[in-house]
Amino acid sequence: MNWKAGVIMMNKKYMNYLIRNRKIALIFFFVIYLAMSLTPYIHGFSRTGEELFNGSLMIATVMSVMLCFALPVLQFAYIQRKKSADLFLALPVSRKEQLNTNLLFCFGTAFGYFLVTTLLILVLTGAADFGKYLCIAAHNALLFAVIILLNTLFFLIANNVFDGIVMIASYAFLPTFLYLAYLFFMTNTVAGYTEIRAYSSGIMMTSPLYMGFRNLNGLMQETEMAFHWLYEILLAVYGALAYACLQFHFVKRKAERAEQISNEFFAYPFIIHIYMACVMIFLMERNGIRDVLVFYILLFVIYIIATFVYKRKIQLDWKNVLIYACAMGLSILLAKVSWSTKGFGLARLNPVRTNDKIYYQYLVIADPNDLSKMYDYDSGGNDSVEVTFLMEIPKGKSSEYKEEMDALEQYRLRAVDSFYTDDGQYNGDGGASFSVSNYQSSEIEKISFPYYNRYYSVALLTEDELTQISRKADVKVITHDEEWNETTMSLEDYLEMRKS
Amino acid sequence: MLKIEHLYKSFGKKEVLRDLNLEIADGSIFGLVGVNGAGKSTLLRLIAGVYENDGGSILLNDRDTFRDASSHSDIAFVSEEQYYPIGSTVASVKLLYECVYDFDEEAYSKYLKLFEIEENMVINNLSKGMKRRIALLFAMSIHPKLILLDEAYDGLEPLVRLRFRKALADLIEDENISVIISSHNLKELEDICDSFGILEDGQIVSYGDLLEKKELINKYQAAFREEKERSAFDGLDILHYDRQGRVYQLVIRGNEDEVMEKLQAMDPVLLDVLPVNFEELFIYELESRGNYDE
Repeated sequence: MNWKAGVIMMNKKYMNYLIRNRKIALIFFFVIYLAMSLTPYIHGFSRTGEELFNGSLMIATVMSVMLCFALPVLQFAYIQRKKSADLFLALPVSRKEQLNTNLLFCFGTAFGYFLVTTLLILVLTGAADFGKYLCIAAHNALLFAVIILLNTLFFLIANNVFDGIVMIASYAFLPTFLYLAYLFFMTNTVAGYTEIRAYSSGIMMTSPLYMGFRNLNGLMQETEMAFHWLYEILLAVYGALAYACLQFHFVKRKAERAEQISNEFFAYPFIIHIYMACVMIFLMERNGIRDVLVFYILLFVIYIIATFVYKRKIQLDWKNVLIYACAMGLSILLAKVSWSTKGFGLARLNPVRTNDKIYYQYLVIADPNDLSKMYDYDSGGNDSVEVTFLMEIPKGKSSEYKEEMDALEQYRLRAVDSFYTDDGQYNGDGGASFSVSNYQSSEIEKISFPYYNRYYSVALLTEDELTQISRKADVKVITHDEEWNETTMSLEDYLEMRKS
Repeated sequence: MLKIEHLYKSFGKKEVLRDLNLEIADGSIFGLVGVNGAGKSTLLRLIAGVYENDGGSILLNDRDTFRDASSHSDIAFVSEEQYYPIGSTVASVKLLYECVYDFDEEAYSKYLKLFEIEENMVINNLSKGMKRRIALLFAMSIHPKLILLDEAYDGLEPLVRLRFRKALADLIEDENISVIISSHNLKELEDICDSFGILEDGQIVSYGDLLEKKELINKYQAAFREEKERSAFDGLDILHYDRQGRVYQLVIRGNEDEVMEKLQAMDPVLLDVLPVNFEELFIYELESRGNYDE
């Protein structure tokens, strides 16, 4: 089988029909697309020609991505309806040809609109580097193709048009939900874990949209954000997987699935339960269900509504109740286990990477008479002092700071322990803020500092520990008078002043 | 020639067709009958290549109708309810047939007039009968070798039905096509079909030449001097037995002369033979199998 027959296998006659049949709609939407893409020039949002062009480029990309969501629904809805399936599946066009032709039509429309519009603007304004534009166009071609393939797959996992649209929306939001669930879980159960670490965890690599737009920004703004080849490879892999799965959901699809309930594993059964699991992770509480019982009841009602949307009938059978009860029990158990094991042991792991440039940062509002104690706001006084330091350890110099680093690690462990002590010791923003960050050498990574841990704790550094730190870092104590005029001094000076 | 061998089709756990065998010769109009839910539409969808068979084969001129999509260019499938996109006109639907079939513009113009259809008609506003005419128009304009009509012949006005029948006869004569019509209206089928098949329990339980079958089944009315038990008629293939006093109404399968000879031997006071129509044939066939509830 040659590549034309095997891979592309488009049916020219069928494509001819699609183009001629949709000619007026294609022209109409192109005019809207072009007008929308020109809005930066009308409003003059930006000043330079390149900024204006980039604005148009971004608008065109967003609109093409929107088309990548709408076109699979329009092009493949026929197989979800009995009457239209009878007509189109009886055509002398094989299923594979129908799949490829419709996919090419979707891609041709989304990418064709983008290419024609942006090229037109580029030629007329000459505002951007053509080589850079070609890179962006190639990247967008991949992005549009992958989104079309994935949305077609998600649409065809379902057995009717409504469910297909629900599947597209559900799978589009799923990476964000997974990210949020991961973020909630990690920041709630692993002391010191930060949003930045969650963001850099790679979980957003499940989102082609995120990777696509991240790389688009990387190409458009070159120096500010990195272009990741890994994202391009992953996009291509997702596209290839989606195309392979379409062999089952379109080429070998049973036509009698049309207008049935969407009971394929990856349709409602998967979507309902994965979203339920995510929400249960949001609800995880150290106090079990005591504080969130009402939310669990609300979630159960939503679960029943989702089952109704799936089966088109209200069904409250023992199986649903059992699944829900098991999921709830598992989430509570997971919460208990994660706290009792201090975030599965992750919290106590030393976050310092000795090969990186390391920063320790400490900030607390302390008692002026004892810097190892939190300031008691209830005392009615206004003589609090702010103790802060930023200790910077250059790359490869960590051995010179060993004693200070050991002391700070001991302090970090105290902060970790207070996180898991359910006696109010850990009080979030009100406590001392202590952070450990690792910076790699590349300029790009400086912006995103991926390995950043932050601890809040009422467990403070002792004055002896602060004195030890002050040998290598500038520990500052900020005092203020009754009119809140600040005075900054070194720890040594402050301790001297207090003594006197 | 359409050749179906050992065909199986299930929907989930429900077996709709099982070990179905059927041959339809070129130039034949085949009436497919069966009770509701017998699987007529499923069989037509399988032949059209819309559904995939679970077992067996469906070959149209030696080409598998599901696996070889090129065979679809020889098949015109008119389903029970036709699909027309919202706002479509006859002209816009024509585009599809023009692009993907061997479309005959001349035939199209001829049938357009025959079925009294205008190209600019918005199809969704039309009656069911008109929509069927449009479906038949396109089915006959693409040089098919096999036309599948799923209840699509029902509901046509008598005059249009007459015109369609004539057009179909011409098409068969000119192009030697085959037609399979499934319908509940057996009287209409009788007028047009030359062969038939009865679908029951997922199988074709009876099929063949309609005239021959009808000749083989006759209705006999007989009166005897004495009352006779049913066992007196043993040896005759009785499809239907009805008795009122000494008057008997029997539907018997078999050569008319041979049956008459046997009945005459029983010394009837009165003996009369009447032909059965297709509807009666269908009812008596099912009744003889205990599957027809009067």
